[in-house]
Amino acid sequence: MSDRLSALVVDDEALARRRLVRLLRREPGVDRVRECRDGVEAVAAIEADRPDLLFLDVQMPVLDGFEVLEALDPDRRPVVVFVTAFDRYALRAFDSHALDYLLKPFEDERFQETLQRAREYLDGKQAREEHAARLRALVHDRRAEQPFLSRVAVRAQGGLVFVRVDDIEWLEAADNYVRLHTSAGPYLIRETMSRVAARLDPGRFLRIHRSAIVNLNRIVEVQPWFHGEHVVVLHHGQRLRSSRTYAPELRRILQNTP
Amino acid sequence: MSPDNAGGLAVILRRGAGAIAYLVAWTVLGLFFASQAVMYSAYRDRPISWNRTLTPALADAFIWALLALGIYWLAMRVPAGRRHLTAALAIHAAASVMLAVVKVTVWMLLAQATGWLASAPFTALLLGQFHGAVFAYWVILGPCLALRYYRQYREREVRAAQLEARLGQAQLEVLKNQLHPHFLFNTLHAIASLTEEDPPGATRMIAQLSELLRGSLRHIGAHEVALAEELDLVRLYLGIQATRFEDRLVIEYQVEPETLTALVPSLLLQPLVENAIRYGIAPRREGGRVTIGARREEGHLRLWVADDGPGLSPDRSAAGSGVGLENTRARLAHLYGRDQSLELLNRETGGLEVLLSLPFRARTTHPVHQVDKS
Repeated sequence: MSDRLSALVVDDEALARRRLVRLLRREPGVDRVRECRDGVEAVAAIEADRPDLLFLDVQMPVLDGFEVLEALDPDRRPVVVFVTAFDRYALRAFDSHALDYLLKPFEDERFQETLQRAREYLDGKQAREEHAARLRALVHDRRAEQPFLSRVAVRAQGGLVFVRVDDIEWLEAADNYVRLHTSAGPYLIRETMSRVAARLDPGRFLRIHRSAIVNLNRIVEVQPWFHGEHVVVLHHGQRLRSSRTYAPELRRILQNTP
Repeated sequence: MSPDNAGGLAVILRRGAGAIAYLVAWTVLGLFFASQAVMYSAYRDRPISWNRTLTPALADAFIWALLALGIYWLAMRVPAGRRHLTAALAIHAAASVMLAVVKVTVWMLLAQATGWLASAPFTALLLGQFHGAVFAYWVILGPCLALRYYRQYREREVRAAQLEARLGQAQLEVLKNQLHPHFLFNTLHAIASLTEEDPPGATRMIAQLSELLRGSLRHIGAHEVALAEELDLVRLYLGIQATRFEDRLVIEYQVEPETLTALVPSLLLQPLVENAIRYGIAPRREGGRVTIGARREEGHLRLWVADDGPGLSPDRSAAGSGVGLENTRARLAHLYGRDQSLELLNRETGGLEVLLSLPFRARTTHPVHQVDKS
């Protein structure tokens, strides 16, 4: 049995958080328990502290439980126990991947059983890998159902920032990075342009150039240029050149806008 | 043929069929009266003259067929009800005299034009037909009024049924939300936590939850309740939410005391407050403030529920004006007609405000007080 266990409790309701923290502190071998009140705090805390075990509420403001998982490095995710107040959809997802969850409200005994299983995952290398694979499958399923990003996790000033895709004015390719231009300033993420493009809603974002994707809501004017090229003018006066390769898409969008 | 044209044609055909049936009915009536003259002639052993039997009777019938449309038109418009009885009688008396004169005139012109009556002095005809014509007016008026009252009755029935359905829907929504996993199970979980760290707090929360459910059930069947009663429920609900959200939820009441006796549709505020928390408070890490207000203004009760959240987004307007808000609008319209309003505003300071206005009617006597007096 693993001693020296560190755990993180994530829940937006303080009472729920404190209950789990109390239960965990009573357990032998659990020597560090931290708590977070939402998904954004949680992602930062997990990256900084690398807890062994995560109790993750599914419904939370800003980032929900699934989004927290998605924001974490797949190879460095802790063992996760989901905590939920009966969300039929969530339960189906956990069941189909044989992931453990606690249904609110739960008894002390139920918590102990779940913790026992979590310890088994942590102890055996193979069990732990299986658990990681299940988490990957869960995230994969979620992506299939919600293929488009609503937020982008960005590492900035040593911390983690979540940029809402609605706040992105345009994206610019920069070697192996992509620069997100927002009204709050640019952010750099380590991604390729085509991978980001694949995860943006084509109803809201349009690729106009090999190295530029624009938020359709931020376009104020499109001026014809030479050789089938266009100049796209954004809210803040930023002018971007579109290339001929992407001109048909741009024209299609222009025709649909009244 | 497009479906639209087909529909239009169906309407025309149906109307045409109605018009033909109407004329056939009057023709049958005309023949019925003609048979009287025929039988009379036969009894007297006089030769049956079609000109003197069938023609006048059918002329009578078709003239009345036309005039009856005017009587129907008038019957639908003259104010009804006991309060307007004298006025209605006077209008119909005047109309019956006028229509009788019109009838005799048309009849005379028709007789002269077709030549079944060689010479017909108007005065003689008027004296011969006036009383019968006035009587006919009132006989035709009877079924017209019957039709009018029947329609009103049906309309009232339908309106009452719709109102009843809307109320049922509102109650269902409220109960569903209170039994919703996010609310009910999170609340029960919070109670589980309180039993360890604050037993009196746990008891208080159990009592609040029970009172909330009891209160929602008690209101079943009541279309209107006093604002004070509605606010009691809202307070219970918000009390529970405040315990769950702790410092993330601030609640402010701006209720003028004189509005507490005002009648409001039951379970009116509850869904609005739920929405304010769901969309205005819960999605924010720092939480926020919910404001509930009531004021009397120019004979109206103004109510508002506001939050300081992100305001109206496409997301929220889709969800917020869904079943709940649409149902609230329909209930207000059923209860108060056009004398009400429900508006959603994005506040300048941020957040969403739902503004309601309805006629101010105070509950003068409380049922419980009546029992005390007796």
